[in-house]
Amino acid sequence: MSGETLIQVEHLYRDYGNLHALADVNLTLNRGEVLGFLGPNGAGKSTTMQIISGNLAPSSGSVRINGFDILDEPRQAKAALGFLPEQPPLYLELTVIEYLEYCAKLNRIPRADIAKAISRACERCGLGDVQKRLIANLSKGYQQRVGIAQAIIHTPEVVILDEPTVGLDPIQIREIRSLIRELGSDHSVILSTHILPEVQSTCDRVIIINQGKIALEDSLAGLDSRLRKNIITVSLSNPPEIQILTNLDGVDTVEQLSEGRYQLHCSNEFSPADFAGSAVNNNWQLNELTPQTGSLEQMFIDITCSDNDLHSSEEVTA
Amino acid sequence: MIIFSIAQRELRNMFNSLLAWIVLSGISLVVFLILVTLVKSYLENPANNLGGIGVTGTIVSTVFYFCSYLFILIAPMLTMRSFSGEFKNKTSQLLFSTPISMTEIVLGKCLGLYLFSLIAAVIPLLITLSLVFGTQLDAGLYFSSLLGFLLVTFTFMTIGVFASSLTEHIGLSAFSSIGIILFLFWLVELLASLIKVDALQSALQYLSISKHASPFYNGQMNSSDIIFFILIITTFIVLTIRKLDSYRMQH
Repeated sequence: MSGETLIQVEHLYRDYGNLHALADVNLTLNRGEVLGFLGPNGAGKSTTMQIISGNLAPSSGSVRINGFDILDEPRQAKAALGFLPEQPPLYLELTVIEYLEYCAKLNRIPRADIAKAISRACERCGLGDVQKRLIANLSKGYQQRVGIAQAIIHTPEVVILDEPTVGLDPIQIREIRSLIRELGSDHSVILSTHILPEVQSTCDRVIIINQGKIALEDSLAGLDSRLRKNIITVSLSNPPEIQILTNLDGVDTVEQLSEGRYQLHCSNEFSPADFAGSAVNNNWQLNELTPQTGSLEQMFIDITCSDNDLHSSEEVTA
Repeated sequence: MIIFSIAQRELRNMFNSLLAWIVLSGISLVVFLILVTLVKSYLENPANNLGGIGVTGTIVSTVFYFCSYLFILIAPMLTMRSFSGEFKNKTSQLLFSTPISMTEIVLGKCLGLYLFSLIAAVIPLLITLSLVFGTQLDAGLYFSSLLGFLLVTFTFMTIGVFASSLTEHIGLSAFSSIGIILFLFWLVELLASLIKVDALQSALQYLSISKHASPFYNGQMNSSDIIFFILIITTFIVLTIRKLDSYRMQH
């Protein structure tokens, strides 16, 4: 994850009246990285995206894109940026080509290069067949692709996608995800979403935001190792004292679920084979040994529900 | 040039919808009817040639004068979507996240609408030019009437763009621009006549658009009137830019 920093967000605050939508958000994006920006609805994802893209002014804090401050030098900063808002900003009365041509002009692509830029963006987003159709007549999935094409038409260093797969059918979602992964090879991408598999399948690094604050920031590999701290459920017909179980190698704590049923919170040294061996040797009569790998989903719910926000658990399911 | 691209988009947007065509055909019809009526009354009673201002004065100027009146309603209809529509469809996010300044956006929008005024001006121009077949026309008066029409409609368009930047509700935007236009065109004079404080009265009188417009239709091109129009157009352009800048601060 080394390399040039393309986006640097420092101490971002944003208030809507008395509501603190963002409080002290810091984030960085390096070249060639796909950053997943996760959070339940209303956590401040879109607000952050809007501020980074220059659509909203922060109450305080700074955003630098490619070294240029978005408020002081907006033109240079925005030149390095492609943005797909939650609702794609499409002119429905135009054809795909007309629309992309206008976007190319807005992004100051020289007249001579416009045709090339349009055909490249269309090719990347799989718009070849629909170029001459009116955007209003396209399906939601294709409209989303036009939105992405708009964001990459000037081959910006950074592409920001705000919930790009909302409202699409599973096939379209898969296509858009593979498109995002492809984009990650030559653009840096910030992907905001509340869908967890999307992050697991596309991102290098994850930031979880909850109630306007960054709750967790880690690489996907780091997340995996966090998740590997396992919980094992065992069931014994002839259980020993809890203390004996606790003293086993690699067991941190033991929780009794019911008569003879325990949950062992283990570290990585714990070996299920050894446990089975000692169960046989001590005649504990082992009935069940189920490892429960923690899921990203569980972790997400743990983090975001810590403030008893019951809704978020429903919303994270893909 | 970004400004021209935005202006082109705005203009094509009007012609993509039925509105521009309806407006242009409406203007044609009204101009034609006024012209026929005026020519008829002129022929029946040449004494209407008051003070010897001739055919151009009695007919051509009147046609342009009426046309500019029409724009009290036409300008808000054409401009109501300028920004309200972009806010509503969220396409404003496209404009705000591309490397263009608010000034360029606003100037582009206004330029597109001014171009529409120019296109609309062709209609009374061509229809009144048909008089050339029967009489001689006063080129100077002709030109000053045209200039008056353009300045007045440019002002209305700019006011409309400003009103449109205030809200994302298209209807509200149209109503507020009609309100502002009516106030500045006419109500402000009414108000001035009611107020007996001299300084305030003359200030209000100065703001009246119709007062600064009427000399053009009499063949007078006063620099003070031209400066008034430039000032009022600039004011509303600056207000719109300020409004859009602050749009990012609120909501």
